[in-house]
This record gives sequence, C-alpha cells and structure tokens, in this order.
Amino acid sequence: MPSSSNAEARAGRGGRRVLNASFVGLLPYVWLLVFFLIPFLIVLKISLSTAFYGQPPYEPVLDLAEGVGATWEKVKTLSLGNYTFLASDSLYVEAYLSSLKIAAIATVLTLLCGFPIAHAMARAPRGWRPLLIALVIMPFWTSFLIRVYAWVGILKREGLLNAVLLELGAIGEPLTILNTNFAVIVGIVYAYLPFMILPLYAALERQDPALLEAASDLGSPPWLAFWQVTVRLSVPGIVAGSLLVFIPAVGEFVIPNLLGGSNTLMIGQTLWNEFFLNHDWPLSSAVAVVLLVILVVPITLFQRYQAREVE
Amino acid sequence: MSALASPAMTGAPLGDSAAEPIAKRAAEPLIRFDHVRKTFGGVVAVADLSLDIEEGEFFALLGPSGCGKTTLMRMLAGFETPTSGDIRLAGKSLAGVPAHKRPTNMMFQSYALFPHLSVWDNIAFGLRREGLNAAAIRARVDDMLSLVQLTAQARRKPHQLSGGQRQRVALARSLAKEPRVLLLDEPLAALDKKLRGETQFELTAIQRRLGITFVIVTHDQDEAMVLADRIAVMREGGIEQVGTPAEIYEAPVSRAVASFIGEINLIEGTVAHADARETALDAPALGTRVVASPAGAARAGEAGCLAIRPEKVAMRRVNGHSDGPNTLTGTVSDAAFMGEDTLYRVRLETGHLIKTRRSNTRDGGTIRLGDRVVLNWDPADAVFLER
Amino acid sequence: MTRFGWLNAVSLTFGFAFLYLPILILVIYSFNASKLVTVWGGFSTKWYVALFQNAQLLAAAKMSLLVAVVTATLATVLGTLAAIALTRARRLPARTLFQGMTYAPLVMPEVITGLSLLLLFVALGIDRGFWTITIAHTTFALCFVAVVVQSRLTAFDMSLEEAARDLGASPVKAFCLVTLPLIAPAVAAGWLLAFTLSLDDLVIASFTSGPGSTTLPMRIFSAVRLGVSPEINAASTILIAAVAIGVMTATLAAKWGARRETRSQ
Repeated sequence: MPSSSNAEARAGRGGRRVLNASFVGLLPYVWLLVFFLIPFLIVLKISLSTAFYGQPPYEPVLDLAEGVGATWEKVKTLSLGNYTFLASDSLYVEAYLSSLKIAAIATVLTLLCGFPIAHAMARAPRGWRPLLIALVIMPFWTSFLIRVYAWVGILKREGLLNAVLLELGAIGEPLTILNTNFAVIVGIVYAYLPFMILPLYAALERQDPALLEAASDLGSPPWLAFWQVTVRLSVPGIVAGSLLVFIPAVGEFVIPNLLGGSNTLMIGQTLWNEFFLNHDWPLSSAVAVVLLVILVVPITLFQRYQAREVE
Repeated sequence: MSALASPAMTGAPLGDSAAEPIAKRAAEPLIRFDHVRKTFGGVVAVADLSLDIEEGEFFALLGPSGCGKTTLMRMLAGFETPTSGDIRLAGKSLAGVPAHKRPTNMMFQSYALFPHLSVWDNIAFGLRREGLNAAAIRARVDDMLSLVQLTAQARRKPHQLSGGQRQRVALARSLAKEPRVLLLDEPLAALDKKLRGETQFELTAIQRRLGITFVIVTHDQDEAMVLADRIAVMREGGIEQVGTPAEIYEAPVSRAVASFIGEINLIEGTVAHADARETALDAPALGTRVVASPAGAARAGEAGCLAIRPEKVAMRRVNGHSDGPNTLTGTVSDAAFMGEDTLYRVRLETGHLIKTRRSNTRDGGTIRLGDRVVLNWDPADAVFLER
Repeated sequence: MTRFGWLNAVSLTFGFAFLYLPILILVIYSFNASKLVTVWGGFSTKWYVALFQNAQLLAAAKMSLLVAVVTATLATVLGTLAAIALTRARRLPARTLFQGMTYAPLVMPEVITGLSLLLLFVALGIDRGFWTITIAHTTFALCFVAVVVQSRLTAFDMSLEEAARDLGASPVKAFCLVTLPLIAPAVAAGWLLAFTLSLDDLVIASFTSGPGSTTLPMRIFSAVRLGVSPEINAASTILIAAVAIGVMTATLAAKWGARRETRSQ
C-alpha cells in the first residue's frame, strides 16, 4: 500500500472518530438546549409580562401564527414593571439579602465542620478510605426531604434536643430552636455537608505527605506547616465545596420551609409563595431572573472548577 | 559563594554548642546513633542499631527496600521517634527536639517542592522561618540559585521545570539554611541514567565545596560507591558492615554484603584446614579444594563460603596440562557483552557456574561459546565468609 | 496508626455521629408506639401497617418509582452520551456552552429550574403530568450522570481501545466491546444516582406535576409541614433501607468492576 493513501486512511479514521464523538453529543446537546436553556429565555420573557387572571395567567401570550406585525405589537407591551416593583418593595430586597447572609453563614460553618472530617479521611489508612467515602456519600443518597424532616423531631420545643438538655440540667426550660434562622442554618449545614467534604477530601488526598514534612524540616512549627501547606493547597477544594453549598443554599426552599419560622426570609420560599399562593407568574419569574443574575458569578466559577477537575 | 561562609548563617540553631567543652566535642562524632530501636505496631524497622557519622563525611545508608535505612534517616530528621535508644548530634541528644527545630535539612525522594510557590519562594521558605531580613534572604536565595544554576528559572513554578531542574531546586532548598547535616532520601532515583551520572559528580562537588555532612539513603550500590566516603550496608533493621567503598567491595564480611554489592561468585563448602596463612575449603559444587588467604578465624570442619569477584578470576583456553591451587576447568556457557568488558559464565564438570569478567582489550585473544577453558585465581583475592 | 492521631479520630467520630444520628433517631422512632417524639411508648410496627393502608401514599410511591425508573434510564443514556462527547470530541462546536449547560444544573437552585420548565411546558401547551415530571427530572439527572461517567472516562486507559482498533475493530465496535464494559460500573452508578435524585425531588416535581400525578416527596412534604408524623418516619425508614441496599449493591458492583479491570491490565 503506498504511504500516501495509508496516511489518508489514518486521517480518515481519526476524522471519523472526532465526528462520531461530536455526533453522539448531539442528543444531550439538543435536550439541554430545549429543556435547560430555552426555558430561561421564557422565564426572562414572562418576567417582562404582566399578571393576568386567566390561563395562562400572564399577558401578552406571544404566538407567531398571528403574524409578525401583531406579535411585534405585543412585544412592545413588555415592561420592566416587575423589576421596579422588586426593587421598590423592601420585602424582596430583604429576602435576597437575608438568603445571601444565611447561605454565607451556613457555608462557612459547613466548611468548618467539613474540613476536619475530610482531613481525617485523607489521613486515614488507605484501606479504610473507600468505606469512609461511602459513609459520607450514603446520606446524600438518602432523601433530602427526609433528612431535613429528621431535624424537626430533634429541634422542636418538645423535641429530643431540648429533652436531653433538660435532663442534663443544662437549661431550665425548653429553648425555641425550631422555626428560627439558626435551625435553617443547622439544616443547611447538615444537608449539604457531604457536598463540602467530597471536594475537600479530593484536594487533601492528592497532597504529598512529604510536603508537610518538608515545611517542618525547613523550620515551620506544626500549626504553621498545616496552614502553609495543608490549608493553602486545599484552596481549590475549599472553593469548590463552598460553591457547591452556597449556590443551592441561596435558593433553598425545603429547609426554610420546614425548619424556618415566620420571620425567616429566604428568596426560594418567596418565589414559591409568589407562584403557588399568589399565582403571580410574571413576578416569580422576575424573582428567578434576579436570583440567577446574583448567582451568575459563583455558578461560572463553579463551572470552571468542574471543567478543570474532570479534564 | 561568600554568603555560604557568612557567620550569620553558620550553625544558628545549635550555635551554642561552641560553649561546650572542647574535649567532649572531639570525643564524640557529629552524629551518634546509640542502640536505636524502632518498631511500627510490632514490626521491627530498626533493631538496636549503633552508628557514628563524622563531621564533613559523605555517608551512605545502603540496603534493599524495607531494610530500615529510610526509617533511620527519618528519625534523624525528626519525623519518627525512636522506640528506644538515643540519637545525638554534636554531643546533644535530639530526643524531644521537633523536626522544625533540628539543624538538619532533608531532600525528599519526591522532592516535596511546594507546588504553589515559585522556585525562588521554595528556596526562601526555610530562610523566612529564621526571621532573616529581606536583603539577607535575597542574597542567600540568589547564591543558592547560582550554585545549582537555576537563576534563569527563579520565577517558574515546580510544574514548569524538568525532572533534573526540580531535583536541583530541592537540593538548593535544603541547603539554603546551611544545615549541620543534609539528608538525601534516594535523591537520584527519579532521574534517568545519564542525568544520574552527571548529577552524582555535581553532588560530590557541592559537598566538598560546602563541607556539610551529607547522609544519603539509597538502594543503588553503584550510587553509594560513587558518592560516599563511607557506606553502611543495612539489612533487616541492622547494620551488616560499615566501611569505605573499597573495604566493602574488596572485603565484605558476609554473604549478604558480598552479594548485594556487585557480581560475585559464592562457593559453599566445609573448612578442610585453616592456619595463619590461608583457609582451605572443600567445595562439593566444584569437586575440588579451594583456598583463600588471608585467613579468617575459621576452624576445620566448619561450614563456610569462599567469595571471589569475577574480575579476579583469570580465564584462558586449555592448552596442555594445568595445575596449582584454585584451578578449575570448564566450558564457556554464555557471555554478556557490557562495553568495556564481557561477563562470561563457565560451566564446570560438576555443572556449577563460575562468573568471570574479561576486559575487551585486544591482547586477550578470543574466547567463544563452547570453548574449553581453565580458570584460576590468586588466593589473596578470595575472601572467606563465615556468615 | 500513630500517624493518624487522636484529633483525626475525634473528627471522624463526631462527623459521622452528626451525619448519622438524625437518620438513626428517625428510624428508631418509626417503631415507637407513641406518637410523641420524646416519649418511648414501646416497640410497634403499627405505623408500617398504617402506611400500607394509606392508599394516597401508596399511589404516590408508585408514581414516584415509575418516574424514577424512566428518568434514570433516559438520563443514563443522555448523560453517558454527553460524557463521551465532552471527553472524546476534540473539536466540539460551542464546547463552553455545552459544558456550561452540563455543569450548571448541578448547583442551580431547584426553584429556578422548576419554574423555568413549567413555563416552557405552558408555553408549548403540554399538559402537565407523568411525562413533564420525567422530562424535568431527566434534565437535571443527566448532568449528574455525565459528571460521574466523565470522571471515569478521563481516567480510562486509551491504549485498551487503541489495542482493539489495532486488532481490527472499528471505532464504534472498539468502544462498545472494550470501553463500554469497563466503564459499566460508572454508568450503573450514574443510573442509581439519577434514580435516587428523581425519587428524592420535591421542588421540581411540584412545579411540573399536574392533577393526578402527585409524587411521594410531595405527599411526604404536605404531611410533614403539619409536624412530625410516625407514619412518615416509617415511610422514610423503608426509603432509607432501600437506598442503603442500593448503595451497597453499587459499591460491590464497582469493586467487582475495578477488580475485573485490574485483572485485565
């Protein structure tokens, strides 16, 4: 076989492989475009509409079948009214701020709980590690709703925690823990802890133990070596874990609903109520768009991390 | 290199040793392992080991993996604590002195370069811990960079360097604090063969220049021979033999040392007679009696072993009758060409194989596979081993 | 062992106690004869009996299982394809967009995903029910599958596939005969993950369900909003047991797969 046609055959084979790999991606690609990306555009469009009593409960309803001219007339009725309303009503502004605050506090606490656990896992004998990882993942496979609900029985006024504390004589009368922001934070820390532990573990497990020894060999006392090497080198894991907790926690609905109180303000719950109780679809769409805008930077950061981690 | 000798840098952590009586310092070597024992959950890593290392030596701990050499070094660095016994440095016990306060520095097998720091910052790491001012640190780091010829790479991160460059950064980092003792854990293991050869000479040159005591851990006998002034051959947590490379090679004390270092013929047998001049051994595998001198402390009837290096075994083609002590005849069974010389294996009538090395110079005449040959050696070149 | 240290042992003990005690308490109280959390009224399985007489709950469970099975299967196919495209395609058009769409749903607040899908279904005039929930679940579950399979594919030794091609297999054949069997544990893990994610979801299902298509989490949610209910504890215990068995099976399967691969190398 002449060498030129040989080379061609090889190029052809290589080329076909590239083509194939792109081709198999077509189906999920289209699926995600239709069911993930386009819905956001619809949310954006409806957030510019006005609430209307009927089905669907907003107007205008765009329909290209009515002709381009009629559609254009309708497009012109879209307005930023919902957004100005969100900005002017302190309830929404506070809900956003309070969500960010609760999520931030919970993220820091999750990190403080998760780091020692991940560190201990990474330093555990090699044979134990698969079991320890399985033990961390297991709760994550258990229903989120049930895990949050488990805390209702523990935290409520006549619940287990108060009973134990009363028995020990630590408190004179039951504390009100359930239906407070504190309970919401406990719930977030508990429910999202595995998400924090796993990336931290991945970062810690990769570290060469000799690095820590090198630092102490060069004169760093143990606490300083821990900070300079162990903590410093797990920064990617810390960032990833924190984003995995923080982003969903900001929009969390189940936890504030079950563990929070009447004065717990979280935007996920606000959105839910606007939608299911007030049936104001355009306003809840606007709430969602603003939430997304707030989260766009952390989400992009997370995607970067994930892409680097996998490739 | 002026900064290397600057008084600010020398022996800062244990600098007060100058205040000690001079007699004691002279009496005691720089490093003394005194009946050191280390077990890991019942497994003995180092068993009742005593060893002295002198100031300014290039000392090698040589042995197969699992012989306890790395554990010994890690105890000296402070990463492991002896189960019993004591390690003294310049006459002072190191017990209770944590790793970060010891005047030893280590070059790790994996190099353990901090991946988030540049070459410059890696080298400066230890100096910063000493609280030196910025100018002193800068001068010292620049000196170290030029010592290992990496000035141009100062701003690079470790992952942007080649294997050889990383190795030099690790060396510079561990030398930067001018330690009393530099510990090198398999420093050349990750390098390819050619680079290893070049780096060996660089290491000895640097050691000579700085006069720092180097202790190297290695499983590579050639490396230990080339680098070290003295070698301790370790086996199963204990020391088999301590000596200069020549002593260890020429006069091994046990079968383990003899067979670990280089090629050797070990001939088992029973002592026929032993006197002040020689030890004669009846070797059933050879079907004859062989002789080694000088003699050991062996007595007739004891089991023992005669060791002879292949290059000390002379070989010539059979022409006529040959006789005398240590003379054997056989057939050339195989030959391994090794460049400057060839390693032959000769099969005796008993079936036993004897290795002999012959240099590939022109004057030897050719020897082919299947040739009948006569082997013999000078009794003075053979060693009698009891262990 | 001494290297591990007591501090690490304490961290692990407290960490796992924190993770598991609430679940354990929940399970214990599902066998409590008393309705009160703080009072132990003796061992009883009456809540389990009540559970199996609760027709609404059983119907919801059936609906959830059906959705979860279909979701897991669809998501596994789509997610695996996405993973292959992301790891293997060298010139993937608009890679960043595709990558973004694959990773974003992992962290996207569920209320946003739920609302946006509902509005899509309304705009398209699709009646809400079984299929809308399934499509919604498939959309976020496929991303989890993609990540799981992708991490396995990245670690995959390409020389195995090249060996198959060297021996005359076409690229597609080589993939199906060599790569697919070896990444099968990851694909299986992806299926299980998608299954539990779907079974677990409350928020997205609430947005995308219609009359007659209430899922188990929706029923549980409306029950627990009113406070602690031992019947729900019983239902939770069954779910937890099912998950525990599933995870153990998956772990064993993964171990088996890993052993098979090391043997083959």
